[in-house]
Amino acid sequence: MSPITAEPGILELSPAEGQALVEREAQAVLGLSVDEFRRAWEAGELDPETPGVLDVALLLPFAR
Amino acid sequence: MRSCFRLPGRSPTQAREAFLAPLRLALNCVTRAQMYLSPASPGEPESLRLSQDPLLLSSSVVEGGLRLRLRHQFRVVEEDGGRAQPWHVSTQAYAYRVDRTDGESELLSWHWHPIPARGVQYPHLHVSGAPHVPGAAHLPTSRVSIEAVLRLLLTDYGVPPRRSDFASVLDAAERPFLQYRRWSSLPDVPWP
Repeated sequence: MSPITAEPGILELSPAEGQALVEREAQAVLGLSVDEFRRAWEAGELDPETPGVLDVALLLPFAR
Repeated sequence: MRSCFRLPGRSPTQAREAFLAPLRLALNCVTRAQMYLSPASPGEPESLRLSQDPLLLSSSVVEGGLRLRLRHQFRVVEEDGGRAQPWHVSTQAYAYRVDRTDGESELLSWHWHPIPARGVQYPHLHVSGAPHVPGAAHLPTSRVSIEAVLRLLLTDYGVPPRRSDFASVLDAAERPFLQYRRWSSLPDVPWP
């Protein structure tokens, strides 16, 4: 059985694609690079209730 | 983070597929958009979102239509105890948001982000634009599935289904979530 990520409708992004996706999102929402966002998030400097912050934070595994 | 949703499998791949296969079918009820997944990494947080983000949806109820954003973070973990299916998917956090397309106004937003010492720990709903409901209010909810959000959009917000049997598809897709979730309203499980 092929993995489900090989089926239409599901696409597992490469690390580079994932990094680019989160970079775009972090820049668009907060004007931060993904590295800047990750540092601020992990330091507890960003409030998850601030619009857009949680949206980006939940994408961080794309930018591993 | 706390976990709340366990789908078993004999391997990380099997557990992941047990989670993703029904979800793919459910999303197919409203869109052909792909589901993007972060690179697989058993034991580490993984994320999913739609390839079209936000996803534009027409609606017979909301003039101009709706926008849907899905964020879902999960982890594939191995459970102790010599079980036949020791691997499972645990939901770590989610943010499901429905906006009007006119401007940036948020309509509904379901959140669960149990990050210690940061914000509300229980699953909740934000409602914007409703009289007497402050937009910042955290209305407590049970654990909400993506399938439940899709069902709401299809049945109450007049989003046109892509398949006529969407109700049974969503019910079947949601069944594993209901069967294997460890809690529904207030998390009472220890940190993993």
